Amino acid sequence: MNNVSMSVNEHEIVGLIGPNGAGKTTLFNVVTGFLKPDSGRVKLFGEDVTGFNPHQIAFRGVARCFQVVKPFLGMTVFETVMVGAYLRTHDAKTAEAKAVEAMKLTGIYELRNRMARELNTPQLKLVELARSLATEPRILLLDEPVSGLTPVEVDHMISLVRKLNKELGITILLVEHVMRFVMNISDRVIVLNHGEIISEGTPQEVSNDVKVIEAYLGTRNTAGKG
Amino acid sequence: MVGADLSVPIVQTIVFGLMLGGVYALAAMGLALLFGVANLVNFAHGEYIMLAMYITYLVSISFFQDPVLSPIATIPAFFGIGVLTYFGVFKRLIKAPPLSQIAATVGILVLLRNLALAIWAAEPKAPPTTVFASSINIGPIIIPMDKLLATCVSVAALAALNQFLERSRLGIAMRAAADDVEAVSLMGVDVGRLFLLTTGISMALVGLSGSLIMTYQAVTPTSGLLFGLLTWAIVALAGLGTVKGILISSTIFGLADSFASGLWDARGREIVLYGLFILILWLKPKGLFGRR
Amino acid sequence: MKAKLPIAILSALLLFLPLMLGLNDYYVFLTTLILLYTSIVVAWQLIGGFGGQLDLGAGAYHGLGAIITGYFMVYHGLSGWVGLVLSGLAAAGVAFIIGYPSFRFGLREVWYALSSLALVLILQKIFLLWTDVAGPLERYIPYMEFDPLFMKSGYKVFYYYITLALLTTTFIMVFRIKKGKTGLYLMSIRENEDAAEMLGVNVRKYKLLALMLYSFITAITGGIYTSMVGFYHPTLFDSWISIQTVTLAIAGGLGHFWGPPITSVILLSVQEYLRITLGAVIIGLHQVIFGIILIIIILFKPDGVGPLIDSLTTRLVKLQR
Repeated sequence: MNNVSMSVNEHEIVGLIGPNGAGKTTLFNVVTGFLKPDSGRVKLFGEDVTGFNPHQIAFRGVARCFQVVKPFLGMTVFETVMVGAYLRTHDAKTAEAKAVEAMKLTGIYELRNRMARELNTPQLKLVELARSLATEPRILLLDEPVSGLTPVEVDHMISLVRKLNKELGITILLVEHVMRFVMNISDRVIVLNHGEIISEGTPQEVSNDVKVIEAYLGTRNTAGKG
Repeated sequence: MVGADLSVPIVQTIVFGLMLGGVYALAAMGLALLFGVANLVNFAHGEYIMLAMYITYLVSISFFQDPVLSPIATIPAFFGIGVLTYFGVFKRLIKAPPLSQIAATVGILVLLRNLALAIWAAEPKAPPTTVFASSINIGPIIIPMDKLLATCVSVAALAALNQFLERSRLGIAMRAAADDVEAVSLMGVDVGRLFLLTTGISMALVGLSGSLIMTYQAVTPTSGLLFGLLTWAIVALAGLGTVKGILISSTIFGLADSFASGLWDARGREIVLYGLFILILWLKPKGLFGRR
Repeated sequence: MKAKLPIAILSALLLFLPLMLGLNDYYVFLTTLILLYTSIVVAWQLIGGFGGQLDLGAGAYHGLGAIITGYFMVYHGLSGWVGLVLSGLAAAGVAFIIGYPSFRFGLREVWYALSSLALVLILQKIFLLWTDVAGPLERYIPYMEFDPLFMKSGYKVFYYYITLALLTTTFIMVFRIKKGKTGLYLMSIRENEDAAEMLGVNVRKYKLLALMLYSFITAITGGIYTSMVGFYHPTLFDSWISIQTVTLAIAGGLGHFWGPPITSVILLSVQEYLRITLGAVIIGLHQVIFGIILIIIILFKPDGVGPLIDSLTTRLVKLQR
């Protein structure tokens, strides 16, 4: 990434878009502590968290869903969500309550005793979301949350993410290629290309920006129309 | 005067270490191939080397009298052992997770070690003297002929292997598989057969190196652990499994071995080698030459 | 715990076993040895079964316990109990010294397994050279008929009950960890470290915790062993203990609770039987069986007998009601 400077306000939904290889997942990795930046700072609610480890960042209220799901294959859905729920407590009962709430919110409560290895990708994405929610985050980073989902599932995700933002007040920063999803849900959109920000604004503004159109020109946006 | 007194032993130690490194390289190359091409973790590699040494001993005292001829037996025998091991264990293991591969090959480790213990007991075994028992003197430095010969054979074998990997169809396929197995398979290569041959070649290298190492040291059933850790250490330091990388890495370990046993204590040698291994794992996880 | 009756029966059995064996010193010795090694297997579950790290360092910690306890009993007249505590702390210290950098530098899988195995051999050679403490000759603890304060007795029964106490404590500890936050965190590390870390799990801390607990317990087994047999020697840093532990844990089912200890008792008994009957004829045969078991289990039943025993125990509990 090259000189990227951006900020996300609380309770916002910010969409990050850009052609493949533009550095979006790298950005996520830096912000969540999986990569240390060569220069620059990461600030969270006013605190400088540059170079912190992922678990420390998680503790400060950041949760993340991965581009390719990282499930706990040998554990049940319930156990998986419990891992998240235990972040702020040592007590099993308290954690259990949080886990149940997160599972019901994402609609996977019925799957709670199934082993993760038995589930399909859309279900695993919801499990990943549930375990993240169980940590009671203030910010949620979603890396391609609807890739590979059917239009119906995409709609479901749109209303779910909206609900998380409006009712629970969770700030959302998401990366996606499916324009229908991004433009529909974001308050603000940032466009990355070759590791640089080339445009920023409301979905309307950005989709009319010449620079953005040029960046995508010649590149088929295969992830969705409409 | 003190400088003059020390310089001869030091040069001798360096020479010895370089020669030893050459022989270790062949031993480590088999492991590098298996790990690099088939992505198979063979925890029993050292035990196969130990077995090769014992077979060298066996054929030397029974058929050939002179251990120099033993590669005639060990190379094909071990290619066969490689094929057997592939069909018996490795074939199913290649798809398994690394921890399973480790556990299963530890099982092979136990089998081979106790086989050796049962047949040959715990006393060290060394082959009868060879016709090359003389030594060359370069000034005050003594170079034993048999060890020199072993190193030369080892380096020659590595050079041949290098040519094979660069020029032959099979060699190129193996190198490609080390990068991307799926692509190789999509290009029509029979991956199963490729891995079978890789195992065979890997073991053949082990067979030859076993014979060569016998010129440097005797063998006991516990030698397997030493050679296992040593060859894995060499692979770790090299990073990439190229012949050049393994050769450089082996030389470093050969020198360390030589200095530790020559200038300190023969028993301290293992402390130095394993300690070096662990330090490399901590500080240079990618090895000297790249990804692992 | 739900299965109260079977556990009560098992406990009674274990408590009165020496009497049932007629207080025969030899049989009691064998049984104590089996329980000792089973304790290591149960403790190993923390780092291997739950944590998912293939640790081959059991021989190092066991040996450390033997040497340190033995040394302090022989040369400083310290009670074996003190020796055990010192051993445990020393082993935990060594575990920390090697574990902290290993985990910090992200050593995984084969590299972690190799370095833990190297530890066994490094320690063996160090103590071979350290003639003040150990060295190439065996050091003997003076015979005492029965000195419980010093932790030495000519009667093996003494050690049987100490070992039983150790095994029980280890069992309970592992059980509670498995049910709680620590166990869950360790399993998440085993399944996917990155995901676990993103959920707030301090991966390094938990791996170290598991490693240090297991090394502590394993060192204690070494101390008990040395006091029981009355001598110590660097060959007690034995890679076979590492291999044996891992084999039994895998055969019993990684992460399962009852599988490993039950499998341990059975297989260790088999090993002893083979050693006694055929061991003199074919040296090392009793160990070969472990090699074969390991290969067969991995190739055909990688989960070990754990799931089978789990379903058996569940049925046992249901029968009770």
